[in-house]
Amino acid sequence: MDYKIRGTNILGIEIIVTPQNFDIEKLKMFIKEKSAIMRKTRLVITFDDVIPQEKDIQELASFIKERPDILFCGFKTSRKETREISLQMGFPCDISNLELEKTTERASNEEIKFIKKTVRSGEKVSSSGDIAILGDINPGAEVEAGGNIYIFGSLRGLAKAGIGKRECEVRALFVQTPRIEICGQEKIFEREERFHNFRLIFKNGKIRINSTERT
Amino acid sequence: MKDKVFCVTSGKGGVGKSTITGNIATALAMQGYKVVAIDADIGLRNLDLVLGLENRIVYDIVHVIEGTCPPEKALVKDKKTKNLFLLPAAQTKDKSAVKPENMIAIVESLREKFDFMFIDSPAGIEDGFKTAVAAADGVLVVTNPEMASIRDADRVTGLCEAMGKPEPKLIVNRLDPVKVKRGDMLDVDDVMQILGLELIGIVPEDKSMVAYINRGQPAVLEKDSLAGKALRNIADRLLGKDVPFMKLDSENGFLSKFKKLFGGS
Repeated sequence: MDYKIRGTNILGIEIIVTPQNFDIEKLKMFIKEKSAIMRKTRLVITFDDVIPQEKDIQELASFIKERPDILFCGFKTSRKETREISLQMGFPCDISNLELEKTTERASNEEIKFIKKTVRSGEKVSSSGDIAILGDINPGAEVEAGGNIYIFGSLRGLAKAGIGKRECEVRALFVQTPRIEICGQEKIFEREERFHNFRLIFKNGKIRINSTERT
Repeated sequence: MKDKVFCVTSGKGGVGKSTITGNIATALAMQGYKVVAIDADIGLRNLDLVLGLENRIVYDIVHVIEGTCPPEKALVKDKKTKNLFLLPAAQTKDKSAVKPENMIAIVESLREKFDFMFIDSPAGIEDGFKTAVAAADGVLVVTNPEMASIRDADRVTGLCEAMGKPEPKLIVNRLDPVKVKRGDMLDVDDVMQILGLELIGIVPEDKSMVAYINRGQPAVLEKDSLAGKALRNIADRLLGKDVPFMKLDSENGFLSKFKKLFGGS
């Protein structure tokens, strides 16, 4: 049985346990197998909709303790009960809205469309998922994405990102454009506004812009 | 030699397509190459004026397509420049008179007999443009250093890519170094940043260009014309020569020549 692994935002590895693959013995085997990649990295075990027994947690904890090269950080879960059990056992456990993580995960699981050219005036590129452009978006060109848009070049045309989504971002190395549409909202820029290393994030109904240089 | 059939296009009108076509063709013919310039701007022909051949036209491209005469017979031989020929456009017809397959057939029938062929494309991105580009091995995009022209050039470049042509080469026409210095005109770098094409020539603004066209004398034939020199350089670059770009700051300009005359630096 295989478990899903992913990198987490606290610079570590997260193993996701779901009700379908919840089996302590197999989980131990899995950790043993993958110990090479877990060396000197923090480890988080996530129980997604799973409520383990006290003895399960005990067994897992003692198993990990025997392996000094794994820096076990604790558990993460979507269920209150699991959190209470692990806290009783003396392990940190984050309760996390895994629902939100799943939606962003889905967006990144959708096909990323790579465009290895400059999108020129009059051309239109669209995708239901993310779009990555290795080139520019010139004035008069349009890029439409259901997910995020990443531009490894200049954005001078129209970018529409996150159509039908509530959270999304647009990144570009250089931006000088009249407007960007994101999640159905639009951001208007002044004629002379220029950004370098631009990042526009739409989260919680708000638009936030980061850039290293702004003129 | 790899490419021998070039289409000169721009999208926007009035940027100097015909002037550049006529001049590059003349410059190459001056070097001894056999060159034909084809005017694809059916109904609005102007290339004959640039070359000064307007009163020598008997047959035109539509006669060739209709089978009235073979392509060789319709070619107008330039008397001033040996080796230069013009295939004029019809003035009484419109763009629908020439289809892409007609243009390809004409170009292929002449290909073996000439070293270079230049097709002067009409403005716009409709059938006339598509006909002109269809037969070309390479595309030369002409733009002026201003936004409208750049955007149109960008559009045309995208269309050429979609038609499976190699990446066009860029000619920046009517650049005024004085205006650039004042900040009233876009710089070549600005143009390059947007279009991202290989630059093959920068032609400075030249007030006497209109006079040359009125006289029917291409600028490349004028020894002391700065624009003429720039156009000759483009011809050399098409031959694969590595010619450095001219310095176009005001030191080379008209005023500084006066300053030199009066003992200035």
